[in-house]
Amino acid sequence: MKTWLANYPVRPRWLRILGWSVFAFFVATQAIAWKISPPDRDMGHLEKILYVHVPGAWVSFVAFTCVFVASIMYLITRDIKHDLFAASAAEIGTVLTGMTLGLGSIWGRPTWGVWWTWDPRILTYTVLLLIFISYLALRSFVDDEDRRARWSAAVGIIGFLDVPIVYMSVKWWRTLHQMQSTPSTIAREYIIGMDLNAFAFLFIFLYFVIARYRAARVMHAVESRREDAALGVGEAMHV
Amino acid sequence: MGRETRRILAIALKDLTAERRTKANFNGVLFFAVLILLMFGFALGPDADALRDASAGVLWLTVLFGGVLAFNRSYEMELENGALDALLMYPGDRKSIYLGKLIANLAFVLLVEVLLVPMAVVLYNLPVNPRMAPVLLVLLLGTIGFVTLGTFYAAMASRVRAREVLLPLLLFPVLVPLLVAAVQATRAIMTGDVMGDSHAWFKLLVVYDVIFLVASYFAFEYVIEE
Amino acid sequence: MSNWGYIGMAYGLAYIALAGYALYLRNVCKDAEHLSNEEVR
Repeated sequence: MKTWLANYPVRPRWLRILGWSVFAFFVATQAIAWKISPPDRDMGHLEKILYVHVPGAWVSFVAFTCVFVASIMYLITRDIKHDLFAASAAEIGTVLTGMTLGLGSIWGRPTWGVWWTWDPRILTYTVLLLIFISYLALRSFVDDEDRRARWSAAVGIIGFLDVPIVYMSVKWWRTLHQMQSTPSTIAREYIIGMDLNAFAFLFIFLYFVIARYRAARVMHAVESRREDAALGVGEAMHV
Repeated sequence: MGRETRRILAIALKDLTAERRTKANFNGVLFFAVLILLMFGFALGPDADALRDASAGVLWLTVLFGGVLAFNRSYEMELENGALDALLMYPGDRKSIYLGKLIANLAFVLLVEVLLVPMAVVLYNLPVNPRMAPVLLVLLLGTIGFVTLGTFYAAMASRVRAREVLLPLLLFPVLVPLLVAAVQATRAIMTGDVMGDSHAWFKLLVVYDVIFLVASYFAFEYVIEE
Repeated sequence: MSNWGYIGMAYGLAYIALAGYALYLRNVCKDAEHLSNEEVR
């Protein structure tokens, strides 16, 4: 156990290198997207918001899928690793979803004239954010580790199943009344800019998750070691 | 009748009997629901047309707010004197505990609705005629979905410190599609359903009920085990 | 507000969110490293 901790640095060299490479890649893709995108005929330079908004949206779905898969894996294997991974992904997913929602609102004001509209995607994102928050809230309310892992896995799975239904329901709801018009023709340059940035966000997400997960594992190992010491169990394996 | 069915019914009956003996909880929830109905009236009225337009949404929110109070209760009874541990020790499938509690909660909420809906009809001056009959089906389907997830989440929420806050926090976000579908179906039926909109919403409610009934049925074992 | 104002707001928000999380993560990692060093010693 002691040796495991000694051999498991939270931020090993390769992770630091990964972190800085991801950062450099992100700076580069942002710069490229800014440079290659011509101003849109109707929206001027506003479309530049999409280079952070759209990748943020995609990657928060990736985060949510990670929570779902890790939750199932936890219930199957009962290995706390999966729970710690799900929690890490959920935390970052919450930040990304919140960011995406805020960006959507900022984008909506000049394009649609309102900060908030009952648009299917916005609503789905709002519900996604609420589910993420309730997932994290549940975790903070439960002290027992095993219980927390099982319960949050259940919430993660149910929440994930809910999101497509939310999207369907609000979409029908809107189309049965009136539809929000959105520009659907997008120039090639935008697509390149968005795809590049989607990868940049994905890498950022990966880096964040790995670092968060490693920190969580170390903290978990230390805690269970202290608990064992307090109970006088000795060197039990809790890795 | 299979053994599991008997177990499920026994648990449902046990909960309902306990509820019937005290009645305090049922009366409290019912009174609270009627109160919300009135408060919405004060908030949105007194224009009769505006009230009628909003009535489907108001009725559903009332059901959700009232029902959420009932679910924690169904596990609290078990926790008070360690009854849950005893219940878990009985042989047999733990999924039966879930289904038993689900049936008891369903009966509870449906009974509240039976008394609440006529009240809403009077207060909000709603039309009563045979064309409105599908509303009852909406009510049933919506309540099944609501109680399915309510019973499931309450198994967790009732056992933590801030249970009154945690249950709605967990439950309401996932209920969004159910709320939208139920309210829209009710509205469509109330306005004559000329476009045939209600079919889509019925389908959505059925899909919702089935997905979450299956998911929580299988996930319950992991939630309840100690 | 001009379009550039909204663009500035959006990028401000996005970068603050990412940088904010990165800073938070740095603290979490430092805490974990600290705990780990304490235990190993």
